[in-house]
Amino acid sequence: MSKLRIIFAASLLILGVLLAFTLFRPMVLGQKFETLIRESIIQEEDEWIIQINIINKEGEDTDYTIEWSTGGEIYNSKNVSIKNGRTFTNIHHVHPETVREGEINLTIYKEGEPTPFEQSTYYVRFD
Amino acid sequence: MNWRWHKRVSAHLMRVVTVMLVAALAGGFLLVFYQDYVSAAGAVSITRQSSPSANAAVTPDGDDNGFETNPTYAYADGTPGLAVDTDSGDAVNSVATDIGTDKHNYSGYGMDIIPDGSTILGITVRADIAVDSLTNAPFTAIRLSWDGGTTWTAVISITLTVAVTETTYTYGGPANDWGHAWSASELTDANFRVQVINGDTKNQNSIRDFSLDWIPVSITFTAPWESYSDSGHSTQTDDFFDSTNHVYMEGTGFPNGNYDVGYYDGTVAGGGTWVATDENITVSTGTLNSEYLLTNDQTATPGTWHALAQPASATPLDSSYATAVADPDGYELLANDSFTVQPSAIPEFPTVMAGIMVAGLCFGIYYWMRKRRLAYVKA
Repeated sequence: MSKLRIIFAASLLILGVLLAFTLFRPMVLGQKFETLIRESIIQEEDEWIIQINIINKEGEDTDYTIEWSTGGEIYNSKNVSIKNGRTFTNIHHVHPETVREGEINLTIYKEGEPTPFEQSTYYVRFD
Repeated sequence: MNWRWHKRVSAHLMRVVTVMLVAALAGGFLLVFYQDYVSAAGAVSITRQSSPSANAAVTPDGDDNGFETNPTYAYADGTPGLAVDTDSGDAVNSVATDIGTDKHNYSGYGMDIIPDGSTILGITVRADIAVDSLTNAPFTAIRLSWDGGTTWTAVISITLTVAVTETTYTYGGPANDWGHAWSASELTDANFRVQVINGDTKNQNSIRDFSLDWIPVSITFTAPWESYSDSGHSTQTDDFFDSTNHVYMEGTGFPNGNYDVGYYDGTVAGGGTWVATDENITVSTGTLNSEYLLTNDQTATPGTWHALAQPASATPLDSSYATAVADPDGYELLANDSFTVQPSAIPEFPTVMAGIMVAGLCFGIYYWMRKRRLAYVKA
């Protein structure tokens, strides 16, 4: 069998396998079940804006508790249910009268877990 | 091995692949760029109910004492009990607005929260009433004032139908303005009054005893709360597509304070899903501004979206739109606007766009190879 025929047969085989994967997706490679957090912070004239994107890659719908605190006191708390694969955006405005000791803390819990999976501290200053 | 079958297989395969690629391209473009949602959006009405916190008997009318026993009990349903008007009225009290009927004003409904400039669609008054007997056709009539009791709407009168047992009677409705074009400022505690009038058809002193358990008012309104496609709020739009994928909300007439805005994606069975909250927004000059970039969640559902506004101190919104709007008082909703988001405003670039690009590239390579082969055969 010539080299050209072997390449042709191998190409057909690879094409068939790729088509089968496209149609049936028998397995997912490299997927890790987790929740991703993307943060950005903007300083405006009289406030700070912190944007958090919570991306649910847990493989199932998941409930989260998002808490904002300052000076050890929670001043904003909410529960949100995020469907699998979906993103929830929390745009949080921080005003001078809100902040104690120059910092804001974000804590995010997954449902049923006593320890948070995300804790961030933002040091904000108003000139 | 016969080499000719390779050519036949190749030719068939080429045709199949060509059809698949063209279909993928067409389908992909249709999915991403075709606008298939009819824009049917705009302000959505909200109905908020509240209870009175002040009262005063009207004198000199009837026997001059209105609900003379525990009038504050009508502030709440059930506990602590009933406000009572014993032996109501005086002389002829068959005409509600005549001087012979007992009258009592309730006020302090706390509707100052409704944004100024809202369109008031209707007012509903609920009265939980009990009467000792149906003899002489006892009635309870209601009328409303928008200027502290100086001017009144026409009365809505209901002849009571149940003796002794407390019964709920409804006056007006979500689309009933009582013959007056209301403004939000006329619903403030300084101006808004509900007058409860008791009477019967006996043309002498009435001996009917009226009891009032609760007298809440429900206001149905749409707030001045609109979606725009630009940060300057100059281009109002209810249809977002392609690069018009940044929603800028603006509301006017909001009392000063801090507010949260919740965004819900396309309405599906059971309501849309909470995709974003823009929270703790300060309003100091009556204008509430918020914005959301639709591509933040590229798996969101296109269709009719909603933006809800509530005070920052209110109970946080629910993940389901249907649940949130089913309890406007619980979530203290002040404004609801809907707008249409087309699929092209939230394309899934990592998958759909990449798929289209790969399919297009494959088709280009195939077409180039086919042209070269035809040129070779002709030669």
